[in-house]
Amino acid sequence: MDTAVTAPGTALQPLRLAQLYRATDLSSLLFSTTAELQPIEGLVGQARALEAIRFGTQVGKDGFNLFVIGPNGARMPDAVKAVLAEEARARPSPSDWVYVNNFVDAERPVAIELPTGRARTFHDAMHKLIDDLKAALPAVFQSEDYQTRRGAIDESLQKKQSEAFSALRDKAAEKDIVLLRTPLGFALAPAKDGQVVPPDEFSNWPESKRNEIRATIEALEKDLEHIIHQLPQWETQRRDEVRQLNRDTAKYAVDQLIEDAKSTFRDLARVVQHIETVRTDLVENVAMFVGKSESEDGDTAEFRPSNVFDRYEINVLVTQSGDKQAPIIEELHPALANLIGRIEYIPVRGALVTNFRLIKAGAIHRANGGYLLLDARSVLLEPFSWAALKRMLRQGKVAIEDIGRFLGFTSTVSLEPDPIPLNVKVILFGDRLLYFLLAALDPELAEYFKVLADFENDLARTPENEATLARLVATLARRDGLKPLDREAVALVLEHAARSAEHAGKLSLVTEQLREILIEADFGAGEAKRSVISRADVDGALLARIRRAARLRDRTQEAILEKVALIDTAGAHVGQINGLSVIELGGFSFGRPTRITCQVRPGSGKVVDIEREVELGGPVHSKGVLILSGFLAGRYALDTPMSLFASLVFEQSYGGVEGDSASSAELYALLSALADVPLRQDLAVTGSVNQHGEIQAIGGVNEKIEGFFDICEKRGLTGTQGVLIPQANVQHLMLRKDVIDACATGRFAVYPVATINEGIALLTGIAAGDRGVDGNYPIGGINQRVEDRLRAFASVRRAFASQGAGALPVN
Amino acid sequence: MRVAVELADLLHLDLLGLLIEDTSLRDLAKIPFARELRSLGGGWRAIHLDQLSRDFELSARSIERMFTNAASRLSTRYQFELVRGTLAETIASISRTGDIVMIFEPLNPAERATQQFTWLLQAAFQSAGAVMLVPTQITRTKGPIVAIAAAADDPSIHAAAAIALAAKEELVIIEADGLDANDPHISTFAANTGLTIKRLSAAKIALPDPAICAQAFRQTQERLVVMTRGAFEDTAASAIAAARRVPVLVIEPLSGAEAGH
Repeated sequence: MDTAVTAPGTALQPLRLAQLYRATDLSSLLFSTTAELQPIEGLVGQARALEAIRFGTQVGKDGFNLFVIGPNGARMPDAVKAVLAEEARARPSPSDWVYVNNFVDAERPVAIELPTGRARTFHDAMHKLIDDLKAALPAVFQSEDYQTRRGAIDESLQKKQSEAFSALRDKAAEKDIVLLRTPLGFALAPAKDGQVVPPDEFSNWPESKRNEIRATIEALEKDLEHIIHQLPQWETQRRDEVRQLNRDTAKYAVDQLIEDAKSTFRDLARVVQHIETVRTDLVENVAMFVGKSESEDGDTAEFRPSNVFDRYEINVLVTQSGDKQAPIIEELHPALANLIGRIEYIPVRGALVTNFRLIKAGAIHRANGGYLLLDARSVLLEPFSWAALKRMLRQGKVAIEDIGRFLGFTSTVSLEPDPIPLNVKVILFGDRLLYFLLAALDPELAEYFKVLADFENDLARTPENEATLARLVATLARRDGLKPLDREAVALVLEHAARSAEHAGKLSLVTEQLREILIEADFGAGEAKRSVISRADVDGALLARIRRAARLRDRTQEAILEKVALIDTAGAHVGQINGLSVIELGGFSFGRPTRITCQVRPGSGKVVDIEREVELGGPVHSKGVLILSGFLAGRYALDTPMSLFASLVFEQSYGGVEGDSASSAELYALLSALADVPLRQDLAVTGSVNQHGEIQAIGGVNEKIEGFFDICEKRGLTGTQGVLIPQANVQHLMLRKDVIDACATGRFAVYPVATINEGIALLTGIAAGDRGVDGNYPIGGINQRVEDRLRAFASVRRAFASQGAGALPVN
Repeated sequence: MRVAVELADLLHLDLLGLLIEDTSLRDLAKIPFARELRSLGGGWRAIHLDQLSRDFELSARSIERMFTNAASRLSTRYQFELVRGTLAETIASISRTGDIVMIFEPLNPAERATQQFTWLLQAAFQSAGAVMLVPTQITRTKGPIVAIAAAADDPSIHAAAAIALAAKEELVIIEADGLDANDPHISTFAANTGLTIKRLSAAKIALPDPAICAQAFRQTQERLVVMTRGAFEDTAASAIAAARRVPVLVIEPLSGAEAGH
């Protein structure tokens, strides 16, 4: 073999230790434990989001509500609340709102606005009024004075009626006629000595006397008829007099009480007006509060149950007690009723009834005049809530709707309470995908949520930012009542933040993840009876988290070690390579090696991706494979039709394959198969490739390296094993300590690869070779071997065509 | 009817509901031009004997049903009877000493003007039993029992005391001839019965007058008034019932002690 094509002296060198892991630099922050650090409040590293939040909360125009998006676990609501708390102090405390009975139309309760904190006073004043009325009204209606006046009215009627009937009776008696009661009415009868004349005797009377009696009775009948016709009119007069007496009595009883109730609210015209309405209602409807007596004549002696006074109660819908600032309300369960309020019902004799006292406030009532924080996903998942929220923002008022009535669930009488003017800043929280989907599918989103606050996932890992994040760690520990962390522990937490950010030069801002680590490390320190959390505690917590979640990883590795899943970590094979993939399940991700193989033969110029053919490959993966065709077509045998059939497969892969991070590995396998040169099996490869053969960055580089390392380490490190990663991914490396230790002692290596030529040289030990000025690749190089093989395939194909055998079968 | 049941229950008395089919109506029905003015706009209708009998029967059934419903909760015996005859003779033949004849003042003043009501009152007060007059409207169902007494040994005091004990109420004695502060009867009686007794005085002659009557009772919220027949004017009982709107029990002069026992 020509020396020109063996692995050159400039062959790839493994990465240095400093490139595999970047330690924290806390030199700008002097402390021994986090107890000495000043806490940091508000948003860290979120200048863009902070600016948006400040703008959104301060601009006082319709539609300028906020939609806050960012990664899960960024604790956006907490961060926003910290900002809002500051803003809220500068805003006045909003009004109180109460619902009162509508005495004209009880189905439309009246909303009354009161200055902050006065609703409860109003409620208490009306409650006292009711208590006083409960005592005063019965007392006055049972008083001797009332009874006497009432008795006089009744007596007057009785007297009038009695006099009329007595006069009739006396007049009749003078003419020997008596008034008799029949089962269904009254009759007049001839009498003698106070007894009805027996019929035999009557028939023996002379006809003239009988006729005279008859005429007399007929005349008296007219009188009787006249009196009886007058009875309803007299009764009406009596009722009117009783009603007037009741009104006068009620007015006497309530006037002073009403004036007392009004005295506290002279400055509130609307309240005074309501109390006056109560006075009028009490006086006009006093019969409602005074029960019937034992007879059915509407006597006023006995009082009805106290709940008849409920109509004068006050339903305090929302009140601001104590806090002289705008409210900040977070509704975690934004069902329609919890959001806009509800109307409750109570069963009464089998029927559901309601009244103004059963109107319950929703989150939007409590937040009115301040801020309402909602999780966008929860709002969208609750039926009708999203539409109701938009409707209220459009109308600028809160109208409580009984959704059961709209859906026909209830057919009972419901209420239509007065809508309440709305002045609230709604802040929705959600992930980015949700926001972008909503923006695409609901054009009204932009109308009502004009301000977007986009939280960063991470921030640059400068010494200053590391110091800031250290203070954040201290704040989190303090807020949760955890033990302080020493410097080394903080350093490891920050390094974990960089690992979480998948970038050695960045720090994750997903504070919830940091908090979880702190809590677990605190537990470990407690178990070890340490008063300060050490680096070992943090390390132990990180390892424990992995251990708890790594059952699937361990089973996968076990399958490889037991050769159920075939992965070689030594030797060399043609058309076979170790690719690397990442599996993420339940928040834990791990890398695993996968054998990729390739077979070639003459064909129509097609590279077949078997994953795609069986619909196990995703579109991005398929794209990566199709790029390989483009690479071959653009690099080799440009004067010859592509006459290749190649098949690529992820061996023992029975699930879906997505992503193009294995496309460089597939290309290496393809080149190996074409060049008929074996590939090293002690190396694994990750990275995507473009049509020019440049290796491109991929995700999950740390997990992939560690995944292959774990297999090699368990089989015994040989010193030649390693992983080829894209050059662009070097900046993302924050590898596990055992991997770094192995690299430090030369037992493992990580190689940065920029081009396919670099990679194939390392994998085969043979340089790829660049096309010379003569247009040919150096002899013996991988590229030359591939090109020759492709030309050979073309010759075979031409030979078949010239023999008239037609084209090769299309594969 | 409810008042009658409550009283019977309170005093553990048997209850007899008596519906008297007045024979004078049958006599009237035989007079050729007899007719009745039916209530509730029914107009004038000729009275026929067979129709009258049917109307009575229907009324009797209805009244008996109401009576039975009301009396069914009684622990004592109860009975309903339909009797044909004159009011005076029927009541006189049925009532015994110790009975209480309850008369409910008619709601309709026309009924009060009828000859039958006059006969009823006369018959009741001529009967051997006590008479309870129940006004059209009753103001209270709880409160003291009032005895209006002409003297410290008035039988009404014993009768009222018995009812007060049964009803667990206070006894108020209105002494119509003025208070005798040294009268030992009342204090002895109070000690013997354990009753709380309050004493008031009133002018006997003025009691039928509603205004004077109210003054005599002062702030008493009584549920029942007891008085002795013959001790006051004949109209006093019905006047007090109308003025106070509570039942008035008029007892026989000699039956008070028995009632007390």
